[in-house]
Amino acid sequence: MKDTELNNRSAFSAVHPVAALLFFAFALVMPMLLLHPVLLGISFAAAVVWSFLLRGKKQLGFLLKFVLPVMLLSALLNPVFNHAGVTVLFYLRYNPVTLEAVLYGLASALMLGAVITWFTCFNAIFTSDKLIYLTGRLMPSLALVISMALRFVPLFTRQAKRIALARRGAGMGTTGGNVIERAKNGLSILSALITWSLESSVTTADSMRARGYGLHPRTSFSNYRFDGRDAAILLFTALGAGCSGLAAGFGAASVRFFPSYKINACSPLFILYAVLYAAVLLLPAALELYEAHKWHSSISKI
Amino acid sequence: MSYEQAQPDISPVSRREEGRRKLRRLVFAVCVLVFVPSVIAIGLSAWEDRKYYLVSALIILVSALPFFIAFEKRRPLARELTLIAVMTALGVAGRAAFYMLPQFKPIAAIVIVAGCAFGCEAGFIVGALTIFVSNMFFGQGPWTPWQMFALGLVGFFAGLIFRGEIKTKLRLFLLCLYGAVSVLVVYGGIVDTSFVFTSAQEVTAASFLAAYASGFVFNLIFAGATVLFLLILAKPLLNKLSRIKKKHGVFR
Repeated sequence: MKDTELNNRSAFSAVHPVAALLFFAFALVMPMLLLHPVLLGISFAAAVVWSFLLRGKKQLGFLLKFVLPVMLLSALLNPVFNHAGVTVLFYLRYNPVTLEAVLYGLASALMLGAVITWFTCFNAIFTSDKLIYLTGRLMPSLALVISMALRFVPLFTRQAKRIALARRGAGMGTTGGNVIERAKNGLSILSALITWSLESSVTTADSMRARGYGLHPRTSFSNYRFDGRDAAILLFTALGAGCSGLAAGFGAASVRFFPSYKINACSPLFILYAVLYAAVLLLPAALELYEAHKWHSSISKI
Repeated sequence: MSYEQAQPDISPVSRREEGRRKLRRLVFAVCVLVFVPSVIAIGLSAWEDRKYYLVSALIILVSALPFFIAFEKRRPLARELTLIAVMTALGVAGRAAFYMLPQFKPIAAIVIVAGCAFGCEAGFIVGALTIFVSNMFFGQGPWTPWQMFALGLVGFFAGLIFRGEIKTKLRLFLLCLYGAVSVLVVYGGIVDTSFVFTSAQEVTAASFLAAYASGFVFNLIFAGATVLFLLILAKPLLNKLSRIKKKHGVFR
């Protein structure tokens, strides 16, 4: 979570949180539902493209250091431990390694990679104010606790520094001494901090009451208007979800790993569905690129 | 001064309130002990496919929902909200302060203390929200609902078993014992189970065993940290909290 998110340049972060949440729900749930390698590949690729647009070079490091090792581990571990399937490739210490298990491992690796990468996009887009905006309507008390806790963390840090400074001023230094003395010092700072924060929280509550807390439904700091673009995104996501349901119903995206591998990847219905799936998932990336293009062309005009 | 002060204990209103609170606690216990396992059973038998993570995440969300809804329905006082927020923030700050030591965190200890002081519902809320808020710093992921539910339960049972101050050494010992067991069994068990579902491997007895075995050391460190922090923090923190409760008339 960054404090500067409010002037984040990402185009998708201006999208209404409800539309954005439903899009993420679609993007995150689909890989878990359909273990179809082609669809998983599409999802992973779309997530990677968007995460690069959102996070730039930082994402490359994350991808290489975290996502790829996890995927590799999953792809390798599955055939080692899973011996289901009829096509034996070779024997590893008397245990059969099957083609089906290898393919299943690859599919689950793609699934993991897609989900993790979508979550990095989620973390970049869903800042705390958006989460509070969403929960504020449904669960106002919880949203209030979350926003207060978020606010208390930096406040407590600052107050702890003040207490340490005051103690140093009073001749009870915090830096010197052996480990035990320093730990004792730290504990007395913590103790003072806790007492202070408990008391000040009650003052906060009284102040809230005096200002009419609980009289009106909660409003939130960020205001989002549900405009045409949000409706379009929502509609498109719903279309994708509906078609996924239909595709699953007609068996257009069916895949079977065990006991033998059987995939439906060439039927025209599947290709149609895969194109639509890719279009929906590439929507945010397209939006980012379109906004960037509009921004650049508006500069050159001046 | 204190507008929100409840009526004196002898009044019939507070007695009725007390009865209602007991009923609520009972309903919660039934929710946890009957509802959750049955939902898991239904979920696993009805969806025989390999959609484990989705089903399990749904189960977790469904079983956590009653806690949150009850919390909203109760319309908690502003003072209770701020105190819960303080405990949550302490948990988050504690997790952040020990970021360089993996698993060695005071969060479970703080949640347990919150459960003891504020009761089981507030304990659940503090536990779940500590995870939710600190994951805003450390990154949300498929593990978030599981961790939220797991730490929430740690706080919930702490409130159910222990209530009030820790005056004797025996009670402190029992609290520490509870801390170790709850972290090892409840938190570790739930989060390790989620590992089986998220990693999308075959769900067999062997994969569960592998997950529990590989998570055991981490859970052991977390349990040790919890006991240590409970030994140091439980008594003074509970004293402070019960003083606040008495002074301002909250969480009674």
